[in-house]
Amino acid sequence: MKFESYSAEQTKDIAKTIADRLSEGDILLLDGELGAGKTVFASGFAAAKGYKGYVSSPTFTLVNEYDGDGIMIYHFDMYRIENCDDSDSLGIDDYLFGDGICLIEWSEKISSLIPEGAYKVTITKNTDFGDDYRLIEFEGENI
Amino acid sequence: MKILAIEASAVVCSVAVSDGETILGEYTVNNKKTHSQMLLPMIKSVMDSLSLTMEDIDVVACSEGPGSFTGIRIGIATAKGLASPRKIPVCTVPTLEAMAYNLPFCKNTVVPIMDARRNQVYCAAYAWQDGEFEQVLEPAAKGIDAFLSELENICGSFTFVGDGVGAYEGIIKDRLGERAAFSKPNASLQNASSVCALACRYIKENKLKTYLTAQPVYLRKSQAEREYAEKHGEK
Repeated sequence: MKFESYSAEQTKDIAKTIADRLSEGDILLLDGELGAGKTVFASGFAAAKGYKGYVSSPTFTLVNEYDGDGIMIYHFDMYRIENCDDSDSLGIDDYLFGDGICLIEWSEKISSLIPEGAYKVTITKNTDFGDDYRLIEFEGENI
Repeated sequence: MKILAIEASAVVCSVAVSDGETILGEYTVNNKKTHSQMLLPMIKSVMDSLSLTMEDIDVVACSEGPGSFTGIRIGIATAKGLASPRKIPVCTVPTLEAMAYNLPFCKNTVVPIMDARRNQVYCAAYAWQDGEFEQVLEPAAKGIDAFLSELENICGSFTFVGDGVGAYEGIIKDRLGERAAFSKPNASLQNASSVCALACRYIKENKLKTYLTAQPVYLRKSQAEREYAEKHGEK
């Protein structure tokens, strides 16, 4: 499934469309280069699930927890993780197999730990269509 | 001698108090992993019901793992915290060993298995002999297939306990057939009474720790298994 966005607001709307399809226990891998708008997407996603607070990048915290409307959103950034042993010490399985929805940036750092059936969003810039243009691709089983 | 025992290594959250001979009280909840909110109020509730305070407790026992990373940490941290003011000993016991105490004097080899996800189990095997169990297979994280192959080479029948049964009952029956039996619901999961009972044995064997030396045991998967998983994942 492909979406095109020309602004941060549109990216948030697309995030809402995708968020509406995901529920408890789902995992969404969030790919895109630095500045692609992963945090903007996460912000729209969390808001769509009823979270009213501020969403920031979990680069330093590794995981941010957003208390949505009856559901928890766990927002990961694995950029600083060296390998799977590191993420073990974070207890990531308790999140991956837990009750909330996991949004995971830089998931390739822990690819062997990602359960089957995870969804994926890839955000790509294309300056031919302007600096704010983003192609947002949503992949997964049963889409 | 009074023992306060904590079991928080997986979904079950359980607290028990023993006088060293009998269990005086137990509070067990098998719901969600809300141990961070549940455990201390549960301890207070059991202690209040028994008109006891931490002043009356001589040893804090705790299930050390393996299991849920978060659950184990909550259990061990709570045990350390409760033991520290009066510097009373902490007795950490292996979670899978404690589950062998769910089925004392079982004629079958007792096989505790916990679901470690991705077709892995935390598993061990214990045989009851002369009133105590002997370790047949030490606690480890293994692929369910590999573990069942090991069991196939061991004589006799097995009784499985633990939350791994729910996840792998089908494959266990396929592989072991009549040799596999499954625990009844009253003894199928972790509970703090078993931790208490095993702690009594550890205390007799002088295997006590302090609030400083007590450690969680996560039983990480071996590097070889990790690399296999990595290759497998890449396909």
